[in-house]
Amino acid sequence: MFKDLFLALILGALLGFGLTGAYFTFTKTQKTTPTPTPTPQISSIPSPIANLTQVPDIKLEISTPTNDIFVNTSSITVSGSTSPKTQIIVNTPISAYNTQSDDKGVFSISVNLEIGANEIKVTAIDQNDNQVDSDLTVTYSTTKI
Amino acid sequence: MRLLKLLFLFSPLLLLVTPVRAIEDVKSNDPKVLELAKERLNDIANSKTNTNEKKAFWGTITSINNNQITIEKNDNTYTLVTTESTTVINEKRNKAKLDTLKVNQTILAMGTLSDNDNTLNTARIVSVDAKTIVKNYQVIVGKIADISKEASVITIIPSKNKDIQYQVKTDNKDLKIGAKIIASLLPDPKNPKSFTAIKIFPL
Repeated sequence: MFKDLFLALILGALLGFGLTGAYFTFTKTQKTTPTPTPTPQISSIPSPIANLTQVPDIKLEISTPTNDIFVNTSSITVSGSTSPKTQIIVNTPISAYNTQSDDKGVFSISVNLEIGANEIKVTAIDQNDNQVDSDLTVTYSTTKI
Repeated sequence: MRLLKLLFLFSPLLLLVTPVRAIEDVKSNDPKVLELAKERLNDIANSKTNTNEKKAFWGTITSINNNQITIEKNDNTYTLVTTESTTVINEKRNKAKLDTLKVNQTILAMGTLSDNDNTLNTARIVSVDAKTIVKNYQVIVGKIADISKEASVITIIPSKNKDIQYQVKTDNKDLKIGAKIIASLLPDPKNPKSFTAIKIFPL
């Protein structure tokens, strides 16, 4: 009886270590082996259609303010994220403001508002002159609601 | 019986393998997983801040039913819930009664957001002119092709479309032909092909 138990334990331990080792080796190999990627083929024939349908690879996310927000202050902070080192233009009914996103693509700028509904356009322009816009409305009033 | 004993003894070995898999999943750097997690966190954050958030919607009245006014703007529909304490300001900036509001009138409504994202518990309604709100800003990046100093007009050719030229009125005297700029523009309401510069940023 004890001999069987002992034998089972030894076999079990060996099998367990074997399986675990094999799993680690397998996953490690999968991670370190570079996956061959196809080299993009550049067509020698220029395609005007490709130029027209090219989607600029630039993103723009506005963190603050949220669209249709109501505020009691004449100045708000427009912040968000885009590509690194990108020009940011913020248009409000008062003026146009500009800043540049940092190395991580984060930007923040204070802008002034007029009384009432303010249409705001935030534009990001990257180093290749690709451009993307985001529109929002912010209402400024001194009335308490 | 002996086989059962052996199976019983081997069963804990499964535990040696399965926890490793679980840990691997948690440490995943898969962008899709991270994006899903980010979206879920945003949903949770938004669901906690939506209620009682102060909002303002503007648009054209499409229907008025008892204490509910429906307005539309850019294909979006908003419902305004009014009460006796809702203040109405007419186009002459005087206080008015709720029943003076009419369909097709453009209004700006201010209040607190209800549980539904497009429903406003309205505290104040102001009659507005859509033309004063809509600005149609245009932002272009390009080069100055010409400067007409007499008329204070510059010609800008956008970087991404050299077949277009923008004639822009500006009082900026520091501009030079060939300079690369970002121009923030407003179209002339009477002539959409003519623009006035809000500001010009040299690059």
